[in-house]
Amino acid sequence: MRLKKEFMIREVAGQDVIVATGKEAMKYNGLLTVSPVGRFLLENYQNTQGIAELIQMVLDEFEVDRETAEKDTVGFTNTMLEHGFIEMDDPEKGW
Amino acid sequence: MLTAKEWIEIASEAREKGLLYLLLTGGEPFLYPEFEQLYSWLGESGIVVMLNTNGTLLTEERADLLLKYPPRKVNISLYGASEETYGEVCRCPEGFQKTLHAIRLLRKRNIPVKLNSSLTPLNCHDLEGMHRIADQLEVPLQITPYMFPPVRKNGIDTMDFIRFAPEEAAQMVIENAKISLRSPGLYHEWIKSKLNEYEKYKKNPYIDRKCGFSCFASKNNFWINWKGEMLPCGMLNINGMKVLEQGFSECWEKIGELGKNIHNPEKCCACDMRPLCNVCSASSMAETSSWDKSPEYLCRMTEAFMQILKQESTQS
Repeated sequence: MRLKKEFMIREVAGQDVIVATGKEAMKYNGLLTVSPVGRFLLENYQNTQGIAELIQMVLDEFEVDRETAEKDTVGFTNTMLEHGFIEMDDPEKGW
Repeated sequence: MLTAKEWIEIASEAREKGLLYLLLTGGEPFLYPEFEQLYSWLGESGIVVMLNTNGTLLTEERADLLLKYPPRKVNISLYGASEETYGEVCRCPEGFQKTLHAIRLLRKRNIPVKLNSSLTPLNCHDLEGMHRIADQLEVPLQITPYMFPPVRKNGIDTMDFIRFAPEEAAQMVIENAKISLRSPGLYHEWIKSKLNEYEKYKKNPYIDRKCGFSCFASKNNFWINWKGEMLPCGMLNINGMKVLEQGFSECWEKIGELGKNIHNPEKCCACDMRPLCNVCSASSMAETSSWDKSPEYLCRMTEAFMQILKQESTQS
């Protein structure tokens, strides 16, 4: 799983934003702001093999309980997939 | 002229400092010999790019490049609604069809386009025609009757500069509003909103800046000219700071300091009609050669505009 290469994460005036480039800029000509956790997830999709591993990384990095980490990670990932910001490296494995 | 490599160096530094939006303008950006190289880099940089152009040099290949890296918007300058007017204003009658062709190339690729037109005595007879073109091509059109006096001519004789008398310019704002707000009731709503804006401002003036640019110049906005010199605003004919020599950060700090220390005209700071006026620090400098003098042209234009608004409000 990874952030599509057409999306860049930029820090602007202390805020993390996703900027669409290339063909994605036709669909998204606004900016998407992300929280620190959102940025962390987007930067680490490609470093993990599945959602469980990613949730553990969130727990290691942020002060949050497991239930919240699971709910937020799964919810964020589904939203990112649904809107085409991230793509699977191996759809058969679902990741 | 800077090379693409040098522009990319500057843009990289600016991006590191948080540059998000970039407008490529001129002159005419498509005249730049390394446009394709620079634009391709910008397209992958995470900087949101917009373009100002007259469109006459836009080819299919360049339109495809813009499709590959879509700009947020392309602003196209429209000088009239006919070859004759283009001949009068630009001495280039064939520019008219080339401009229309450019608009169509971009629209076919779903690239957002906005038309900008500076209205002068030479093309004001085409005002309705320009609106028709905008409607037919389904693009927005912004008309500006106020024109800065020449600031970047660098010694070239500007005696031929033609613009409206201030009172005529005010009338042109109204004529334009009548055309663009032709849905029933819309024009009179606009008149009412302008007068309401004035009345509201009188009760609670929000501009009390004796110092500093009245816009975002030097606060979150800068220009870099073709020589690589940073300025707070591209309409200022002052010495800029050489970015390649001094570095982006240092130049940005310095123009911030410059911006804080300019003094605005006292008359403008105290004026009730400020929200209806086109005055800004750059226009003061261009019109009076001074930051802190109110430009007589704009005072007259705004007073005339106010009078017309009041007259028109009695017609509704």
